Amino acid sequence: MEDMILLVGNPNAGKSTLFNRLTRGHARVGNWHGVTVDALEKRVDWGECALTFVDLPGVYGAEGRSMEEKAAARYISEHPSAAVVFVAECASAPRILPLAEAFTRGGRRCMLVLTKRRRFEREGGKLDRASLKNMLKIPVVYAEEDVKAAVEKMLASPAIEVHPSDMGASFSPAREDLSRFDRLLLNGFWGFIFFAALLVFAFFFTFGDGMPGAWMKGAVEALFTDVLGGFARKIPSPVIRSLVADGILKSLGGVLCFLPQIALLHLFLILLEESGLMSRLAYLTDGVLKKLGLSGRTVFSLVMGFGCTAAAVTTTRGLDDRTLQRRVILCLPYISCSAKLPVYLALASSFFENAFLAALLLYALGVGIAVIVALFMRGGTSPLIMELAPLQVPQPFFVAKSLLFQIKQFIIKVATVILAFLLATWLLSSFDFSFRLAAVENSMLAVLCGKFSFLFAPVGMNDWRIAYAAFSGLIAKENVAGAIAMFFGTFPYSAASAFSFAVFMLACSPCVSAIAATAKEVGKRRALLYAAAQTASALLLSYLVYFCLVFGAFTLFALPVLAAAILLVHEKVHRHSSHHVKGIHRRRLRAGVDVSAHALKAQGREGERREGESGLHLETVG
Amino acid sequence: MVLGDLRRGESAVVLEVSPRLSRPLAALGIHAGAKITVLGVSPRRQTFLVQADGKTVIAREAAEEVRVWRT
Repeated sequence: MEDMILLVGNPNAGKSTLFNRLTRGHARVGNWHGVTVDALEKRVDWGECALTFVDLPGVYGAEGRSMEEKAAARYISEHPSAAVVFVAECASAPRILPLAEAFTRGGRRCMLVLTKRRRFEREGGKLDRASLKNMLKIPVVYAEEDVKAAVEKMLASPAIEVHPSDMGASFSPAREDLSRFDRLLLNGFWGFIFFAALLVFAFFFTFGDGMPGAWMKGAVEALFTDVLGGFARKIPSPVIRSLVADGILKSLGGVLCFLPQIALLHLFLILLEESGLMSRLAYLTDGVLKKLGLSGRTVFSLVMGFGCTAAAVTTTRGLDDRTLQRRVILCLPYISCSAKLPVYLALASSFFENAFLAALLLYALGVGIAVIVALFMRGGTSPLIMELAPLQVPQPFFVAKSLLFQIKQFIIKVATVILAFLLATWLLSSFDFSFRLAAVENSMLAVLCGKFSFLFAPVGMNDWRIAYAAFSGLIAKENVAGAIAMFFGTFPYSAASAFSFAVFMLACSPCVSAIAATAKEVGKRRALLYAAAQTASALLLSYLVYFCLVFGAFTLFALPVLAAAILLVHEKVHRHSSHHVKGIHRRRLRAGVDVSAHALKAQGREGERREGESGLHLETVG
Repeated sequence: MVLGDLRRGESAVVLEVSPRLSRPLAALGIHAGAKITVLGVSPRRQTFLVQADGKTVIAREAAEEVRVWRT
């Protein structure tokens, strides 16, 4: 016998944490309302039968407001025979009652799990569990109790309809006031000072000279060049010596040495999210972001963009409407992800003595370009209505687990995709078409890529290796740093060329993972159009930056021309998107077809993820 | 008066919520008859932090659509 159990509740109620406990899964958890944007399912052997648990995105109401809420609500309605575990925070237990009533219409096996009890009681809240149980007539347990036994009891019970009444005296809310720290964070002046100081501290800790980030990077570099490089230089065979020293150690070392700094960056992002600071940032920045046609709710996606663009694109599913989602997706590539860090730092020494200042400048430039793009795309947005996540000390276990997961993902990526690419690059650049060892100028790669040397000639680099390195970033941005290390060691061109190249890397299309994530949200055609437009405008921008640096103010006359060109390209993309949306909408209305299923088919989304009729992206975990 | 007119620390009872926002706000405990307290107001009164049955951030445009009676 096989049963399906859905975990349903408000965002940030603790569904994913419960899912991980029941299934020993690894659903992503975080202190933000909207971390789970996909349905995650896992089949578990449960005694004599098998159970499939499904962790759904949070819903506030049966209809839902944001895209993933609506899809989750639809998913629940489309599985009437599935049992439901309602998950609610003790502090907002009354909110689960309308959900329980709505989703048990027609009869359903269900139970209620109450989470975050200790915080609720510490803040003076009171909840009479027995009264609640009598009112709902379903099992009601606290999360720290034996939930598995309650699940078994629920599965053995008949399906019922829940008809809740007012909780009345059985529920007494927690204290309303804000802590001193919260009052500081939510103050317009001190809040901004706090977050600006936090940002500068995070950058300085990661990139500053003598700081842990720089120190750990130096240690990893020394490991590759002195220790492992020493062994490699003793290899007798010239081919194998070249493969190990140049193909593997030099290029991989050029990427892996940034692992400590990337890990520190991810650590700060995890702490920002886990502590609840992210929702305070959304509160403070909503007014400013509204002027750019965005909203405070987009802050989560924008900040996630500093970690990984693909993950940030996925989080945009938590936004209220598609036009806002598209605007944010267009801005995200300019938010420098952690994969671009090795490229920036590899180039930084050419134009800045201080890596901290170089990284700060490039990150600020990226944010500036994102602001300009947002202004071009500006449009209306629905008003921000959002729950404030509780302020808490991040739990070391969860922080360590999330950080180790990010480090593992990076090492796996380097050991597979990047290593394979760099090995192929070494092979093609070390041999000619007769498979004899050759100088790089006479290699297979030189013959294949020689015709692209013109691309960066306007920035003083008439070199096919630079063009090759730039476009290797489409597979993974780290490839660029690896390719530069393999071909040149240290960057051989002028400071102006290095900076222009860094600007190109900052503004060009993101990697294929991010393009694939974008395609899942907005369709393949639109995603490829965005990528092409971003790459073309990045090339033009790098030319302009170079001309400004070399020829000075004269070239600023070209700025209006470039701005107009970028505006036209983005307007065309935006108009094409609007016409395409209107066309799909008219066809849908005429056909009377289910909106989400048709959209999914039209966008040709395929792959390992299964597409539910509800439009929810389903991921099965082993 | 509307929620957007309240200052930090003031309490009110919700009289009416505009139809387009009634569902999302009701899900967060802001509905006709609910007691609310304004815990914070952002610079230029762009966003409001309101205590209903939880702490909710509401943008100014939404706050203008919630009629309240100050208590």
